[in-house]
Amino acid sequence: MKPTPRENLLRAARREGFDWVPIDLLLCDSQIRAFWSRFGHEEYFDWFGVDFRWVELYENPGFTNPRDLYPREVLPADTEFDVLGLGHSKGSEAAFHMTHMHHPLAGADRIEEIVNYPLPVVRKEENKPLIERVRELHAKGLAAICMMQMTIWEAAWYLRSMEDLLMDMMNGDEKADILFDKILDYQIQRAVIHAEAGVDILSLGDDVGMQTGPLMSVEMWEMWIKPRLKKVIDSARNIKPDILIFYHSCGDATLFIEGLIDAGVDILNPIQPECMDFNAIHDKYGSKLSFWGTLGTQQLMPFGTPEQVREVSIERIRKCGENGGLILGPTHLVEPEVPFENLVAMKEAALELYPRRS
Amino acid sequence: MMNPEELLAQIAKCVERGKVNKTSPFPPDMKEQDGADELTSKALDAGISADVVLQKGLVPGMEIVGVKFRENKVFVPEVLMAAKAMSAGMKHLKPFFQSGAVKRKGVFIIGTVMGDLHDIGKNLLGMIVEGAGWEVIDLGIDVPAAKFLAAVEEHPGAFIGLSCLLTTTMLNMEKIVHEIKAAKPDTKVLVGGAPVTDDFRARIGADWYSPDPQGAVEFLNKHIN
Repeated sequence: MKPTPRENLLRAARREGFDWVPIDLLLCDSQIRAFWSRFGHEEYFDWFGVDFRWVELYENPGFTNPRDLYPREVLPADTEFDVLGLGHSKGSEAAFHMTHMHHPLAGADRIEEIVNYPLPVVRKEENKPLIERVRELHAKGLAAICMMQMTIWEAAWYLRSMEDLLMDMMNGDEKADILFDKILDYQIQRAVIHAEAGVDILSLGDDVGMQTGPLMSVEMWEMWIKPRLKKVIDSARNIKPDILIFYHSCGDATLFIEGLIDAGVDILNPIQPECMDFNAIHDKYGSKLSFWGTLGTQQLMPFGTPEQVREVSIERIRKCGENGGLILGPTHLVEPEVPFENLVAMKEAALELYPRRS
Repeated sequence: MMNPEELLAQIAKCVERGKVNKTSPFPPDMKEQDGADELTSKALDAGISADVVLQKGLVPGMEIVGVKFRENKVFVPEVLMAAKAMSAGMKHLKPFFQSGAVKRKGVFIIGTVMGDLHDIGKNLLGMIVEGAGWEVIDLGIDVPAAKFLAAVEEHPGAFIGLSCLLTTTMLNMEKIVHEIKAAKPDTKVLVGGAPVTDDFRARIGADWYSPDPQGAVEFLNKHIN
């Protein structure tokens, strides 16, 4: 019997086989506009045959006037604020969708400021639409994945600024522990609500890799980040034992893989091939970990030919073998310069070896 | 009481280990010890010239950090602490820079290219190059060619370092290199950032690419005016 997209994706992610190779991609605004001009709609997940949909949790900002969160900074007039209170101001026109981030706790020297920082309020009773959305997706045979990236490390430095947070950590200043624990409590609440709603995949992540290696030592990560990450994962698994844990880190995350598996991660994203050796990582961890991404957006997708995209896609699919363990996709947001033909080449390569039965 | 050699070696060690001053708790094994702050002051009081303190104390410490960072033996937090220690020492040298008794090796103008708002890599570069004894002028992020050119105008002979993270903005990097080279052909332009390669550097006519900050220091040090 033909599996539903959800069944196919979850089996592939658990390395239990698959009927077709699941694919994923996320288009930037200008790519979405280009897709619209081509097809007259923007449902590109449908067109590419993506087996899942992202779901969102509802949360209330913890503040009334976000500008009050910035006593030390005069923000540009065009600044917009997200639910965490992070300010995002526009760059030049050349910056397209990218914004400049402002850190409300940068320069804060009083512990009370960290303790009292108003993180969003998440209420179970306000998240019935999430439960309904997950039910609706499951009824359509689609899997539900939620966005909880920027889980511990990134959420903390986005609020505090990387420099101040690293100084706190290195100096053993209690502000670091207080901020991390505050964020941990918030993330546990979100993880629990997602798990209770029946989400299939919890997407966590923190950028701890750089192009040339880890951003911080593995020891430092093991001390500050990993135990908290594990608590978030455990809190979701306590509610929904079969929930899959997806973890994102930009850059070279190779040295963290062992610790991530130990913390309970099932799927690693995005495995940037320009700085991570996918074949070697698969040889070492392929029996314990699945991979999501793997098609480089620094070289292959923007500058490669469709034939090169096809070749690399097929190489990845063959490497992962009959059990799967691969969700094929560009490693990051598809930026404006990626030719549409390269995205089509990825889609067609996925179907070439494992055609999708109609 | 340390002799001058020991004092300079200890200043270098403080920078390398990120020991800012006596009260700073990091690194734990140097607790209660003088940091780069106190030792630089003591070295100057002991009659060691500011230039020697810089070249034989502070700079060698940061150089070790730059090399270790390239070799993935230390990471961003350690570089940050080293830069803090370095600037605690440099604070005492400020009057000597102002009087001209000590000179920096040259001026390095850095910025993330127009359209790109990422700054972590560029900031690390700035810390390590400054720690190598160069004056670093950081133009920030989203910087157009005109701003780089205005800065070179103000600092003749300065080197320029361009950073980007996105493939989208590599195109802007190319345009900026062309504009700089058209207006100031003798200006040396260094490029870096996650998607940048040496092939790309050659194609756009820049002078040097390095995947890590220390590579930029090595290029700059070879080209002191």
